[in-house]
Amino acid sequence: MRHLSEGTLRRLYDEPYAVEDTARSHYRSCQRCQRRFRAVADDARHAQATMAATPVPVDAHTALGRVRSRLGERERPRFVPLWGLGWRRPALVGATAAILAAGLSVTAFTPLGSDLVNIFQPTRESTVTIAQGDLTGLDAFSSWGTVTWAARPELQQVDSAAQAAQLSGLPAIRVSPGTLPASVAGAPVSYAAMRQATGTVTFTSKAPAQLQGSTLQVRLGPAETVVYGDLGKVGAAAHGAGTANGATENGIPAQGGSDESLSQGRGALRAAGPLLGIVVMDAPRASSTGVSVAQIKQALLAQPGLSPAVRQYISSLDDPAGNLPIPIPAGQVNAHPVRVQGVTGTAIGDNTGLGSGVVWIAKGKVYAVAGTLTEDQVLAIANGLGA
Amino acid sequence: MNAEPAELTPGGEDPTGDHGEPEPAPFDRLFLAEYGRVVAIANRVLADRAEAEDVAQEVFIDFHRRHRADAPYAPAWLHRAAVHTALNRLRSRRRRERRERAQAGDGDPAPLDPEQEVERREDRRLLQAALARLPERAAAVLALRYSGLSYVEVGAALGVSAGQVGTRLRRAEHALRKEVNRATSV
Repeated sequence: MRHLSEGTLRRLYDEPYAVEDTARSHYRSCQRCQRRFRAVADDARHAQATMAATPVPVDAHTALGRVRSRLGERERPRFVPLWGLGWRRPALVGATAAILAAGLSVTAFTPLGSDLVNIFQPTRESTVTIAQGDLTGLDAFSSWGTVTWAARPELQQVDSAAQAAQLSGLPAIRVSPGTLPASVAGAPVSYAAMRQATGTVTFTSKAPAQLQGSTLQVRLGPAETVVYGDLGKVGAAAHGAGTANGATENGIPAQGGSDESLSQGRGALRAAGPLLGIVVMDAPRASSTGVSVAQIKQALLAQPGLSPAVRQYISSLDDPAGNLPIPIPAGQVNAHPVRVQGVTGTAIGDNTGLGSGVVWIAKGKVYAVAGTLTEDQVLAIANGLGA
Repeated sequence: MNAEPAELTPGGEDPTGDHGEPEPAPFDRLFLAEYGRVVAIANRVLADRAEAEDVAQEVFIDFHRRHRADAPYAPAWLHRAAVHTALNRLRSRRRRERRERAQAGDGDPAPLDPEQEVERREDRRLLQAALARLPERAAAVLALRYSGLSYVEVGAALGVSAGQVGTRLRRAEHALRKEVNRATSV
């Protein structure tokens, strides 16, 4: 038998009977392993002495009362745990970039002026293929300004489509039951909604000179969602994916992220079982004071470290053929135009066949339907939607 | 054609309730079962009972907002959140202390306690300095294990097998010893 690993020797110190009989038997007859064990045990004793702490007596019942009280003071938002499905960090960075980029996508350009001017309201979505490394050059933007939220984006879980509609002010999402595949038709259904969020970016002295002092106001939502699937399983699967490499998961601070987050997200989806999500939201809007699109574009493009893909993207932001960017991971996902609800939308599919989705914009609203389904199934659901 | 989707079953999705009613049993049970251990984990890192309890309550509130109280991964989630939140606070606190010391222009404040208390504080300072310098992974496995969690529980919190816990613990203890020796030999 091979010599015992350091890990096995360490466990032998703490939990000898948790170690296999064969390992214990080897240990008894191997002087080398016994010698190594002494070093392991010595370090363990040192750690034990160093880490020793007086037990902390706690009054859990009183603490529970305090927690209840703090929970009661809150609005009781319910965050649907869909964020932990891998590809989260890049997606967030991409979204940040998209919001900044929103300032560039001018549909009603107005030159310098002191009033808040509507400069962005997308009318078509378009995909932007971005590799993970492309996002690195965008980090500098986060230091350009301070962000204040008049109303933060908070997704709250509610009990029905009607409640989601009431909270968001949008028409209730109505799914045509005949379009639901059997795999999701019997799944638990949950609903969530978000009121409109309004944030203001004030460009500070850290921003390029031409932007300093101006502001960019971004309005997100309102939005509503319907999810078919067991969110408990999603949470558990996402937890597994997140903890597998120590990546940040569901808001838990952890050590640095991982390049494997996308594949782990897929693993989480597979483990979660059938899943279908539908989102309807008012198209995001951005307004600006005192800065022109040309200035913002110039400032963005002057930054070092931007990849060619990001440069091309910034340069074409005011393209009338598509000005709501949807970042998609290079080489992992394919996208192509489709007809949905009488307009042109974008179908997005995972190259592994794991899932697909469709996004479209109509009458000032962004719609998305996605799930662990085929493109045909997703399109049928999308075309049957009423909202 | 257009039909209201099947009704959500709130009890199945979030038994902690969403209508201003008292918390139902699952969250209470989870809290009472795990609160002491979550405090112990945070205290092992912070060596400050009040701050450890503050971390524990934040962690439970965060969990309540995001997950079902009866989720099978709940204890592991709480343990993991506690150790990382506490380590983050420890690092922030050390940065703040360094800044304050630099501004004050001197070292540690003069001890007001007897000799034993001075030694205790010095030991605590050494340990916290070492934990703050260790890689997060190493500090986390030490804090979890020395808070009384079994190999299986530590593995669940860190997302690794119980077998891997031994390997991580061994490396972490070796690294801790080197850090402490380095600090005391300066």
